[in-house]
Amino acid sequence: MSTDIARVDINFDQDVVATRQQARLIAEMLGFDRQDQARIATAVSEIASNTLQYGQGGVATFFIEGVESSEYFTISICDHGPGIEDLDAILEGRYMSSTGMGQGIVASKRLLPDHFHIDSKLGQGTTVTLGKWLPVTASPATLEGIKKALAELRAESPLEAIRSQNHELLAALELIRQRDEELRRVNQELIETNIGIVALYNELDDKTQRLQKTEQMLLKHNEELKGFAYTVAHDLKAPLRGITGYAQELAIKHKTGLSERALFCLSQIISANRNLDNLIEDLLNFVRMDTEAAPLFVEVDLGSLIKELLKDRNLIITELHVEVTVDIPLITLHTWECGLAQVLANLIDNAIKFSGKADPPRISIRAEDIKACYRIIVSDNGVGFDMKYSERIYGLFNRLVRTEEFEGTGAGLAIVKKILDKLGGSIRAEAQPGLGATFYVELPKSEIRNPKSEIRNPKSEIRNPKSEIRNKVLRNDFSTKEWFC
Amino acid sequence: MDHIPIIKVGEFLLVSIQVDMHDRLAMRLQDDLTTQLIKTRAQGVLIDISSLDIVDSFIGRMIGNIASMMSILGAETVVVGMRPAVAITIVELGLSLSNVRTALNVDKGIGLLRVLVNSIGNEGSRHDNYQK
Repeated sequence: MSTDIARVDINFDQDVVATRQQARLIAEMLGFDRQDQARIATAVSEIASNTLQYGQGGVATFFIEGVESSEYFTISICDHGPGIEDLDAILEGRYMSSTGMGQGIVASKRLLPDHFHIDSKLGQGTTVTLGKWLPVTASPATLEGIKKALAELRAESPLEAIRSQNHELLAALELIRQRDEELRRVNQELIETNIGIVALYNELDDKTQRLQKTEQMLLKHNEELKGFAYTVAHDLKAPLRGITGYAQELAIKHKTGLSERALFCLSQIISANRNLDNLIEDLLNFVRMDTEAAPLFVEVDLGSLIKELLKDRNLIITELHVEVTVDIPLITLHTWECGLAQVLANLIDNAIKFSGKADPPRISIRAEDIKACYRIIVSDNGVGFDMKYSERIYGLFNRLVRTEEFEGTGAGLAIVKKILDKLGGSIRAEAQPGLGATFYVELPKSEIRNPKSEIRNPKSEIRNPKSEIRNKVLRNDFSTKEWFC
Repeated sequence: MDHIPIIKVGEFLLVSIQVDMHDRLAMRLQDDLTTQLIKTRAQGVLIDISSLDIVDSFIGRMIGNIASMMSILGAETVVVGMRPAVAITIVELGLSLSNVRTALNVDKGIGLLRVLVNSIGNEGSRHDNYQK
């Protein structure tokens, strides 16, 4: 059984004095006579001096060891110095250092022969344990009393106060040093990361420049192509007008001199010309989609727009006995009116055209407000098409049916797609051959790609808080990019 | 305390160690004493250790060293006021302070110093004469 009484750090000269004073004090309180007090204090002083001088400082612990009636006062002094090289020689008194180290150990062993133990490992430190039997005659003060008395002494001593403050300071310094170390490490990591980022950024920059170059080239090519298409369309129209003019003149003014066959040929020429003219017109429209500046965005009431479109087609609807179903809730779109009208007109025309041979032809136009966008659905019960062509139908001049069966140039859906691209919308189709086709057009609730329109129409922004949020998100994105630069 | 005071009394230096000395303080005392001895041309040194509870091997050696240095510098050293416990400890430690003269108290110490200095002084003058 052992009971700790006190602990003293040995780091400075003053600590050696404090340690031996502590040893003497405790010895006195434990009831040792003056001579033994002097022995214990001297032996402790010898070892503590060695600890400071050779062991780079250490700790002295005072405690009582052993069972009752054979207890002894023990002082253990341990350091973490280099250890003692030739311990046996020192203990046998064969060795004596010039500075008196061996002398100290031997001397203390001589002073306290009851218990003397020395444990030294090279490179790990030395622990010296000194002990003396507690005197039987004297009545030792209780351990609690000793501890209390020591604590009081410590509180009174200004040196002790400075020492404890010093300890705190050292601990704080150590903490700061550790933090500093950590900071340096993190900093190093950051620097490395930064180097990586810079390298990545450079790479990105390279790629961006290449992309920009490619984009510019593409834009130039596109521009050239557009000009080319426009010129071709215009130049084609002029001779076409001549051919039509002359053919009509022949058919009207010189009708009498012509055989029936010649008149038939003329009507075929005029009809073919009309088709060609339509084709060129569509081509021009298609090209115009790209060349036109940003379209004007206005408030459009979907219901009345569709009503208008159906009114224009009243004649053909009545003629073909088409059953038209319209189910449009109150939807106001902020969009490019001409473009939307063209999209819907094309889809309705297609529906009427391709359902023409059904009995009875039915078309339906519906609209719904789904969360993210508005959806317009145009369906018919006409010839339909195979779903494997569902992407091909949007190609320019791509036709799934022959002109003899259904008139048309094959530009309609291509134009529809192009306009929807401009509006930020989308189109998809569902169809089955012989059972009809359904086209779904989806339009965004507010055109976010065209900030100009928002300036022109601030109301729409107020009415549509979502768009505001989206715009904010977009702006944030920009600021993030700036930050990265 | 940084220094142990050294007082000149007549032709002697008086050192009274009132604090528990740590090793550095003991070294400094050694230096201070030699310096003062030269400066004051004192002929004897009296070291009072009556306040010391313990004398460990380092301090013991230091006292021995001081005595030897003083002797070389032509002065006598007397240590006075050693406690009985200290005396026993010194013997048990195996320290032989053979070159240190001791006396029971300051009075007897000064007396001893006078005797020593006078006898050496006579020798010293004889020595001087011999050189002439």
